[in-house]
Amino acid sequence: MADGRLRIFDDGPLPGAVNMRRDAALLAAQRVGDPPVLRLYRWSPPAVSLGYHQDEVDFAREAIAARGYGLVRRPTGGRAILHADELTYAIVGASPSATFGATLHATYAAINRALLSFLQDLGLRPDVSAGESRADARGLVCFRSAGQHELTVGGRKLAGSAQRRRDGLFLQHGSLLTGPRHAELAELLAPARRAGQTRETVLAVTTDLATLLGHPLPEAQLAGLARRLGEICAATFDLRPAWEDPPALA
Amino acid sequence: MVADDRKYTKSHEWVMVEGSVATVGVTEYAAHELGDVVFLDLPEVGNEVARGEAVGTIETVKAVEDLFTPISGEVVETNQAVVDSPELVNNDPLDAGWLIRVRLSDAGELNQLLSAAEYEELLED
Repeated sequence: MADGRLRIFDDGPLPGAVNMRRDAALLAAQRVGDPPVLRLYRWSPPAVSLGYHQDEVDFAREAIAARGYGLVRRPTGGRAILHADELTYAIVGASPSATFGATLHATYAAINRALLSFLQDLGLRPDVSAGESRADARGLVCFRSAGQHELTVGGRKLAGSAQRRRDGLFLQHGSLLTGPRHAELAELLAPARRAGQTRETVLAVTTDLATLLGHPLPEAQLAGLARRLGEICAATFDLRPAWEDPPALA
Repeated sequence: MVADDRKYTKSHEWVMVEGSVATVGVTEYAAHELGDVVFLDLPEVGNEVARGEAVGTIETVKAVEDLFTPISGEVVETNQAVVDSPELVNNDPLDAGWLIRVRLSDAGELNQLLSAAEYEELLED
């Protein structure tokens, strides 16, 4: 039962297929009234994740495999991401609920309050994007444009997010960029779909925490940032942080 | 004003019956709340579907949601126009943005749907 706790665990770096399986399992196990769950993780090796409805033929599967990257599909919507340098979160909870509001937009707003607080705590001045065109939303690369509710710093996209909703529950995925490797995705589109997109065109409209903080962020630092994000999420949601050991790998 | 030529569900679908076939779509309220629809999966024609079952998905710019059927029966037609142009769901949810047509297996289920007046009351709450 909901008991004022936010269950939190940091899974560290894991392969893409394991990450997606764990998030899907969290949503499947959650019931209305359960304490919400925040799962923090990274990706090793890097992996391309496709949105729920994206077509694999738009991506260069051989090139992805040749670089040793994984290729997975998210249960959430949105466009593709190359997860390499990032802090990733999954939040599973109920909507309608006091913590996450009654609507899709209220849930995004509640989680954004925590993310904004986390970024402000790092000394940054983030903004929330008002949205993008439907054509951009149907594009291939998530970080190519900032959709509604997504976070920018200095007009450049820093964090993307997407939800899956069913039966009064939601799973929200979010990626906070911590380095530049996400932009390699431009080279991993099927050749016919690149249409002038390069690593540079993606980097021109994005930013990342290493750049903004002025130093690289190895795993030890990312784990510390994940810990801080967990504490700030709990405080923002007015819940008690309950850190748990991640479940054993299936 | 809610159109009074059809029935509604608490989850913001509408159902319009002609003979033994019901057309299902999402309401103007849902179309607005969902935001821009970018992809739809609809069930195969010929599938038997049961009331309350997830029969497809609707993806907007910010979420993927299951699409539930409020009535049971055989899917006799799906709207390929909305698959090709998902913006129809936002622009004309009550007419050109319809989603599926189902041959009713239990007309009694219609009694469990909301009237236009009841749905309007739900929206006001």
